[in-house]
Amino acid sequence: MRFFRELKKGSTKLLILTVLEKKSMYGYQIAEEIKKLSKNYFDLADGTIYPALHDLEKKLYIKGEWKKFKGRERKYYSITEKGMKFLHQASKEWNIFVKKLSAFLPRKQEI
Amino acid sequence: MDLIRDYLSGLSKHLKLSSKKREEILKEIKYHLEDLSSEYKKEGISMKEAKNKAIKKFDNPKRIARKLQWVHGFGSFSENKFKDSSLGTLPFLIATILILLIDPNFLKPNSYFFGLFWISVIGFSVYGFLNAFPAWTISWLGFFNVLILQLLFFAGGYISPLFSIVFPSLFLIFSIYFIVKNQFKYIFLFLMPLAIPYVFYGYDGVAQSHRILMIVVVGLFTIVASFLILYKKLKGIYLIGILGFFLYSFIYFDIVFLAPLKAPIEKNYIGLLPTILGYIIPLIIISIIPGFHFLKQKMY
Repeated sequence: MRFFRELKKGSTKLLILTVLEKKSMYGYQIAEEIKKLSKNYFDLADGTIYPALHDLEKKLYIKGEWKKFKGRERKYYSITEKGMKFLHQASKEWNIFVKKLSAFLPRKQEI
Repeated sequence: MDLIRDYLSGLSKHLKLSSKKREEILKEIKYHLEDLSSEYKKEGISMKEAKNKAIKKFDNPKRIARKLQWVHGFGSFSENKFKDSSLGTLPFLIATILILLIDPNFLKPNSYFFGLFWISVIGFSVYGFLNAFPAWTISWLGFFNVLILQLLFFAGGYISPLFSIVFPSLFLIFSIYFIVKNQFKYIFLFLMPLAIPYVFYGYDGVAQSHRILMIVVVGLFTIVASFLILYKKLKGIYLIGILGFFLYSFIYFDIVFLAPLKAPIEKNYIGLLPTILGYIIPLIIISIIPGFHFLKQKMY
């Protein structure tokens, strides 16, 4: 359904911030972690996370840093103070939104 | 042929960014594709198949590049800052020369050269749109705005009065947009072309010597200011703002009070509205915006 596809796409930045809240990661790890945590529900095209990552970096919600790991350079992203504040605020708003919308929508037995 | 390399070169073709930024993005994506391919290879498929699968999972390179271009490309500079600044200054230079040498009635698009100029304006604006507006295309976009407004103005009938509404509204919308985006230098670049028709608007009756003075002063100011804004990346925006304030006030004072008129002005108070807005709005922009930017910098 197009509506849910758009909703999933729109959640990419929140998903990224959520996984980065635990530890710093590089692009591939972030994509895998999102897939794992959501039990494949958020199986986004891997390429779509880079515009989101770079936009978050530009807005100073995350910070990217090149580090060497197993002989190969990786760009590790970590959440900033500003990103943390944004994530908590967004989660709060999101919970309110879901609660209000659920109360509004018809219940399962009514459909 | 290496599939990942082909994918990256397809991506690179659509990324119009500085080579440093482009290389960094490509490196990051290359490692991601290699990791993904290695993971797929563990499923027992050949490396070629694994790479193919990884690329399919990654999404269309053109789509990814377009999204990345919007993140990094808006207002971006290439390695050659001088070239960027010159390209951004070029429309001001051409417009000034055209007005001075070819047709003093700038607002009347009756010349072949003006036609060519407007075609270039449209061309570079479209190029800017397709490439997420690198910094130098913003001034061309400003001239595109002037073109639209001219067309509205000359359309006559019910459309002409819209001129007074559309003009300030566009000023306001784009100013707010750029302020929100914290892109103060682009407000200047985008709005400066509007100074040209505003200065000449409604002053066909003014003595030729005063008109030439206006053209030279406004033309030189916009050329120097746009070059400095692009080349110095806005370091002197306060000075440009103050200078613009004095120049603009001087010109306006000159054309309204000092210039001898060829014919008496008819008393038309409705017609005065664009004239008043023509003074107040550009003045607000050239003085308030740099001031706002200055205060913001001091505060944070």
